[in-house]
Amino acid sequence: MVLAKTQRFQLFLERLAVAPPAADADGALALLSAVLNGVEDEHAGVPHDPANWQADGRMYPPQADAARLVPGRDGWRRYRNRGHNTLVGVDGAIEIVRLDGTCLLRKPGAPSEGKGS
Amino acid sequence: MMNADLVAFKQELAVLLPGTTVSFDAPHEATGSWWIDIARDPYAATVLWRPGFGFGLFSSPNEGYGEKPDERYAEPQMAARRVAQLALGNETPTPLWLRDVRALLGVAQVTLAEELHVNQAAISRLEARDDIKLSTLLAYIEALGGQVEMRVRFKDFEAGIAKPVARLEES
Repeated sequence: MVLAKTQRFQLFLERLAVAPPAADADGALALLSAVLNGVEDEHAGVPHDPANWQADGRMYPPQADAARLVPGRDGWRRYRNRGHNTLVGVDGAIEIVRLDGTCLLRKPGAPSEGKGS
Repeated sequence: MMNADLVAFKQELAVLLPGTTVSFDAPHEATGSWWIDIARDPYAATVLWRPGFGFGLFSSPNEGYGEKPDERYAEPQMAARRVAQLALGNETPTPLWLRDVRALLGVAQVTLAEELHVNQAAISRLEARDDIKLSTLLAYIEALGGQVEMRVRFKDFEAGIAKPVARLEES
């Protein structure tokens, strides 16, 4: 069933929130990409075409070359797109924040084993 | 460090839209994407720049996540002119229409009219319409030196579609 972009974005956030957490930054980016591509494959009505530069009605995950460092948060990376900053932590945490500062999602990374026990 | 294209874009925008705030969000890698945030109350926009790609502009509503640009400009001066068009137009982003295309290319109505063998008034009337024949659109764009691509896209296939003969019929 084809859904409007706003509906698909909300579905993406909901699915990402409940997905098993990642353990590191690469895993977090891979998780986010898999969830978003899954939603778009099911409901965008547009085939996945990352090589095409032009808007096609589909949402795409951040690309690795779009990474920025995050001052004061060692190991974190920030990915920028038109309307959001997406941050992934060295522990697999994910934050999606609108440019006006509104936090849309804050997902902890996978708990590390053995520490403190 | 900002490259020549980004500097030229900022300078051109300063001329076209005095008082505009322009912020540059630089990538960590030299080959990465720059994001340029532009604010001129009540207008705000974001522009993407990548090496080898140029400037990507968004003229559709901002309602999702990770959308690609709607428009692409190789030259910083033309990208800045398009941003100025959007800023001085509606608050809501709108795609290019005929007059916008002609203005970006710096072609006067009278020049285009000569190319199409009509008078200037005919061009003015045409540009004021929000619905024209495909053949007229083709004639207009081809007279400016461009091409119109027509494709249809469905969930299971997409393909180019036959174009009518370019002909300026509307008066």
